[in-house]
Amino acid sequence: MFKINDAMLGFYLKKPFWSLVILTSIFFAAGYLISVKEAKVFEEESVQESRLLQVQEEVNFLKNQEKLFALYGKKYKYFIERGLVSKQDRVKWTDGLLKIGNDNFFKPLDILFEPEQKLTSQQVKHLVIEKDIFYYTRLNITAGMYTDTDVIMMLKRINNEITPLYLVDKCEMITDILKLKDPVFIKGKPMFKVKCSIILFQSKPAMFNAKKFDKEVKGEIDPADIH
Amino acid sequence: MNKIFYLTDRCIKLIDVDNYFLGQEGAEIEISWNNEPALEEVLSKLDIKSQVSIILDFVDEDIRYDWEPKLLPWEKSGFAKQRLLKRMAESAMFVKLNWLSETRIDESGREEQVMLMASTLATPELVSFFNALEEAQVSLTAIYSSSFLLEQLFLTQIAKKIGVGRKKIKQPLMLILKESAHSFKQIFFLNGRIRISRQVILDDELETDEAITIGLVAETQIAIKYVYNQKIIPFNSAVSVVFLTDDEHGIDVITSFREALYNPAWDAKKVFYISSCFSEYYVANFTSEKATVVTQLINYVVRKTPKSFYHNTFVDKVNILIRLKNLLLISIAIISISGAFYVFYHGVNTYLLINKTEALYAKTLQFQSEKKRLQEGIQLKYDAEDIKASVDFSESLLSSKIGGMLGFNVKSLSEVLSNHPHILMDGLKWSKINEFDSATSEVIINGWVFPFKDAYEPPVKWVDSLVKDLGADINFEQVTLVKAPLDRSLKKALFINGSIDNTINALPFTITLIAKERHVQN
Repeated sequence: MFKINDAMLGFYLKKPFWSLVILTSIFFAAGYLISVKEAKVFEEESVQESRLLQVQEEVNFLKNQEKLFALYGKKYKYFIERGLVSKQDRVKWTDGLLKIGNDNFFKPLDILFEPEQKLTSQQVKHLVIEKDIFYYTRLNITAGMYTDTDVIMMLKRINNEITPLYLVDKCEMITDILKLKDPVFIKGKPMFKVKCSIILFQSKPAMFNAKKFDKEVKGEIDPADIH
Repeated sequence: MNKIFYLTDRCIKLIDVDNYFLGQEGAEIEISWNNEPALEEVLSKLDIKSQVSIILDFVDEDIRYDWEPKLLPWEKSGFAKQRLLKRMAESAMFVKLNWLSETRIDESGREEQVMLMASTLATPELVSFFNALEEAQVSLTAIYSSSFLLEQLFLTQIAKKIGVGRKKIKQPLMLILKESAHSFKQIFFLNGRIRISRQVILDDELETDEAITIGLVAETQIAIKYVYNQKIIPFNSAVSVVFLTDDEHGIDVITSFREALYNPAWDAKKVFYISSCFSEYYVANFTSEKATVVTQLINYVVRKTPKSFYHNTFVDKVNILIRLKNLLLISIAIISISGAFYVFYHGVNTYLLINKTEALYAKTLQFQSEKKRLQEGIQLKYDAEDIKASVDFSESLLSSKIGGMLGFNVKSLSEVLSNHPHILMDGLKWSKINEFDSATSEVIINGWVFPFKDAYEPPVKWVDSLVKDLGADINFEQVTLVKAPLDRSLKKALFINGSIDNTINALPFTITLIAKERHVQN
């Protein structure tokens, strides 16, 4: 019925056919280009959006830091000076205790620091543990004393001279009933044997890093190493 | 460039539709069948761009309604093709076959269906005319039969307007159309379908309208008689008449018809005589002085473009091409619309996204400068949240040391002990219960009661008194005498060695208690 070079075929279908082909290719090309462009722009947009969110987060973080520091900075300095919060300064402790022992003739005087351990919320009832940065050290003191009030005196001096930030976990005072009945004070021969276990606390705040987001590195740094 | 060939037995009329309706000269060219050079010249002027329709108006067009055995739908086309080939072999040029919906059961109980068969004879002139058309490669879109076109025109455009409704149209009806002063067309309708079509040409010598009317009425009477004789309808059954003319004299003519044809025995309600003027039924707002049947048909074809009645391969081919072209045009429209929509939608989307990205970028820059300012401004050593946590921790630690430095209320204990001169303590042990900052401590007191001399009663009493006093103190709970100077539990055996050394003058005891710190401000 039809031949490919039929003039009627050409007359009726040539123009619309080529129009269709050209239009289709134009729209396909345009559609393809625009969808490629759109995908690219969409990606840029989402990258930009996440960048904005990140920088917003950073700004919020910094503002919060600023605010918190304004509120707590002074108190923190005070507590640092009072010995708790910073490093576990064993030298300071040992020297302080030896001084107290020497002043009061505590003999013998044994000091045992147990290894530092993480403080968990199960170990305390009232203490506020907001962050996972607190540690404790058990300090066992064994001392010979002359009177029973020496224990109180020792703890008071620790409170004043070393730090108020400790807790007495347990204490034991033993004496010889015969010496007690008839007290004779002889230097070097204490009447009481006192064993106390004291809990010392440390906090290890993370170093402030204003540019921590820039590097995306957040390692745990022991504050003691910084000093 | 629409052209219509109006073919009659007498001549070929080529009508240029646009000019025809504008009433221009030369819009209608008449060529006699014998005048081959003129025909060739006309055809040579036609080209592929000319849309051509053909209306066949031949006297010898054959219209037949045959009862054929009812066939299943898929058998019908085969049967029809057989009939068509048979008819073509009987020297038909065009054959139209159409199954109608009417069915009947014949005497032998076989179901039959009516099939219309219309055909025109193939004359050498006609065959060569169509060959010439095909050679000229004109766009032949339709071949109509003038009778069937008139039927269609009458049924769709005129019948209702002149008050012949669906019921009336089923009655036997003679439709008479005026073609020219002496030429008329008679179409007999039965069951709302064309049954017989004939042309009436009166003697040219009849000059007055009355004479022509008398002649026409006589011809009509002959036609009706023929219908009766052919037993197309029962003898003497009612036949209505509709007369369509080109002038206002139709009413006089129809009165003559009524007088001549009406039989008082007929049901007056079923018979009607109506005359009307062509010019009232033009499909469009076309007015022409030439309100003839041909004009009417041409107008109908142009305005309504009915489907081709007859077919040959050439017409079919052109129609397929037209359909394909339309399909392509629709595709172009769809693709253009959807493509434009797609491009527009995504273009707008992209534009908005670009704007949004720019806004986000500007905002990011703003925040970044603020960040930089803050970074440079803050002189912090430690993380402020950790600082806060440390401060809160320290404060809570200080406030938890409520019972003094020892961790339990040693003052109350010494106060109680000072009231008991017979008691000496040689061991004191306390430890926090559960947590480091617990308010409760377990306290173990080791002591001696004295003097003990031969009798256990006084020391036991003294120790009991101590236990009682300790228990009465609100700072202590669960005061228990763990090791008494003398175990008085009846559940246990007790052995007292009578030969105990007399030098012993004090008895040991052990008390445990729970010391509870109350909240006292340091």
